[in-house]
Amino acid sequence: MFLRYKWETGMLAWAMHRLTGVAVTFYLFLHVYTMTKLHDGEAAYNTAVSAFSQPMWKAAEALLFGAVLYHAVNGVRIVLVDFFGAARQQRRLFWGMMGASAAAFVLGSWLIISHAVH
Amino acid sequence: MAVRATGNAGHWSWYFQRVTGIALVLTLAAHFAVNHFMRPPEAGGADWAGSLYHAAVLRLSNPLYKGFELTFLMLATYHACNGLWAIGRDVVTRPLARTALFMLIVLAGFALAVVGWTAILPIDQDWLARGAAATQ
Repeated sequence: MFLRYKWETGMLAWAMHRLTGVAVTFYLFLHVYTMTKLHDGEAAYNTAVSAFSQPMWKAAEALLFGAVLYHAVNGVRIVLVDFFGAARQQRRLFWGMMGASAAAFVLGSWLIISHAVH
Repeated sequence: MAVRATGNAGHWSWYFQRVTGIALVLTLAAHFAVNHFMRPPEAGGADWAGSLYHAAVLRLSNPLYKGFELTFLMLATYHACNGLWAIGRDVVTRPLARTALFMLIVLAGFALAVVGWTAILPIDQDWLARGAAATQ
């Protein structure tokens, strides 16, 4: 899978896009399954959802936020390169967007960990 | 230089992955904002004491929002399956295994859609009253 290849930003971005994509897909299945608990009554649903407010799940939520954020920002970058001819500025674009999303990750995961976001 | 789709199946897979990707950035932002930062309109003021269950049911009993959530689910299911298959095409080389993996991904996608629709679709204005009656 990882061929002998000179690691450039595009290669790193590509590998991380696939990794985060698979991770978010796992979450999608878990999330949709959780919604079936709406059919088991109020207590069952609230118990199922409140499990996610335990510290371990809060950390997992922060990781999920990071994965979704990266996947979304890098996806927008791919569209800019593919459809809007941003290939010439691609390295600057990559580091600019990664810097902005790193800042958003720090802020967002702090909100999640501090329980400001449920 | 911008790239264009040329018309074979692989190109449509590539093209729709970008179109649904952009749509998902927008719909996910809306989904996240509504579910985490907004009180359901029916819930009233800041002194509302409903549980997460009440909030979820109130939101989903709105046909417009339910339609939005189901659209979001369809977009996410397609995008996830198309993405998994893009990885599968690269990693799995034996023809039989490729076909089997493709069918597995399609099946998983259908299962996800069916579970999601059956979970959300029946929730309407009377859901809370029916739930309360059932537990008595």
